[in-house]
Amino acid sequence: MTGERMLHSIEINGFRSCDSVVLDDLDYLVALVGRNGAGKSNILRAIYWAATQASVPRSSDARALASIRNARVALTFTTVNSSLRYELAATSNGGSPLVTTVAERLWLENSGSQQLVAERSGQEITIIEGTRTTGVVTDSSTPMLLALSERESSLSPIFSQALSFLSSVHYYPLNELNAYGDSNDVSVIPAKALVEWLRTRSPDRLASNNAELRILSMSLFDKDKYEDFMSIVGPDGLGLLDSIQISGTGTTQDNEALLTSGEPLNLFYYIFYLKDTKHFFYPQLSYGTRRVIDIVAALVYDQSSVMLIEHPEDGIHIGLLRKLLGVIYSFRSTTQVFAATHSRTLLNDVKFKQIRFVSSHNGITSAAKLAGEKLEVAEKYITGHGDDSGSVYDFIELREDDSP
Amino acid sequence: MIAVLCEERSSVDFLKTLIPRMSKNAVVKGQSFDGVGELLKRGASAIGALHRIGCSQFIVCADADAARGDLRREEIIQRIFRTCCLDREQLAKSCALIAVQEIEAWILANLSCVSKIITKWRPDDISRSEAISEPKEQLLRMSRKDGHGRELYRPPEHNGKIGSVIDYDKVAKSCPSFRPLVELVCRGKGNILPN
Repeated sequence: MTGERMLHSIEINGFRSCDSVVLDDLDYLVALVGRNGAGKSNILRAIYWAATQASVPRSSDARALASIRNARVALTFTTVNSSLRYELAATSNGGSPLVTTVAERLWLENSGSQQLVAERSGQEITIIEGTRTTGVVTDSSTPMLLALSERESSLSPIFSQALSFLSSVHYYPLNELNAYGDSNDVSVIPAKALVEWLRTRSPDRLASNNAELRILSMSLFDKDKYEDFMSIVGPDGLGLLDSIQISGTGTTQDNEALLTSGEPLNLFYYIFYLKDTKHFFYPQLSYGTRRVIDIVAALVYDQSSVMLIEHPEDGIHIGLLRKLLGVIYSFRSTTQVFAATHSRTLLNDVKFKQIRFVSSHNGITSAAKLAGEKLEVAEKYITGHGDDSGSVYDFIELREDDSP
Repeated sequence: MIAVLCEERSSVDFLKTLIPRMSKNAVVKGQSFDGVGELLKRGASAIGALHRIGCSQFIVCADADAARGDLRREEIIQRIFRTCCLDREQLAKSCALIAVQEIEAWILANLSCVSKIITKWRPDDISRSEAISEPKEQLLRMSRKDGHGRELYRPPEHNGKIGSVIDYDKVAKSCPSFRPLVELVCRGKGNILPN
């Protein structure tokens, strides 16, 4: 990633098992490694929580706040031409009725110095433009950046960029990259379901289990993305599929009318996946094939600024996984990837500076990077010649072995 | 720093807790492989990598399984020690440790020690444990027998703990295949002859 649109550092306090977790000096790929229960997923969730709270009206995510007592997450990131730091702090009374107070702050960073440009406490937002301050009152469910991006000020472009970046942070838990309707062998997508999905989409909806809806949406409304997707999964790419055929039954209408029609739509779509002259419905594809299709569809369709993904290796053959990693790398100019992983293949493909070692002591998560002497030792371990080279994964095993 | 390379994680865990008891202040780095095939394939490069980070003594531990112990030992020496980066002096401080059948034969030799780990299980030591053809299976069978209501033996979970309590003098007396470990760790004598 060339310094644009990426997270550079993250500070997490009081979020689940994460207390005083700091991840800095981040690259376009960040691999979180550690034993089960160490807190890798909690780090991903904390990033997603802060990004969602910053960009989505809170009434839609009440549950996320309900589990928070005193949490603070700070994200430092670059957008197109600004370096920004967004901090979210939530304090809950823990009682009934549950009352959660949210404080937000946004800084503009300039050659090492920070300038506070907006802050919010409860319903009051203050915009700080040099020596001038402007007060704004909004309802507590509206995130600060959302409220400010709709107002005219010299800082509007900054607020919009921050909002755009944070609203494109998407989290993909292991169990959520599944097909629409995958309990049946035949998957039929009602146009109503597609329209509903498109109308109500939010970061949550985008990141949820809708690979087929993504594919259908691309094929109907965004041919460029659909071509990108097919070039990756098709015969000249990963070779998962020969082609995809999409057919509709019932009332036909042009694609754009689908989105504007207020009437119930008597229209259904079937998506056929062709491989070796055979037709498959999505649920009939193997788990690994579906998994790769899901990840590629999410990469192409969602255009995340940050993709937070759990165990991308799950169910995928190592040869295919290597190719998929190549695909993920090819998106590095637009999408930064945080992956929680145990995969030998993935870890042997990354650099030590891209790895964060996540561990838990007395239930408290910590994350460390290799630096200084430790990094030298690690580099020495893998620096051999030909068959005499150690692998990154083996070093990780040795290092975890030393942990209590 | 002593490096141990084993076929399985449970064997690494066993030696990692055992060796610091045999030699005070010994620091042990352990690496496991997925079976003897991987160990033979990657063992030499792993020794090179471990040497670069400061390991000076090397123990390669393998099960003879159904093969003859001397043949497995020769295989380890030829494919790992003869092809790795160690010089004569370093080879002299290294050891090919080949358990007859499996390392669980060593545990059987002082099986009574498991009472300290699985408190409701009170088995006796087994003499001539290296004569048992499938010691791991035997250990599992014994654990299951009359095991109702108590914890069963599970190698991945228990071998490391057993290494911290086993009477290694007793094991060395009963199991000749265990003695090269004592020689190396307690007396600094390896069993790899330089070319």
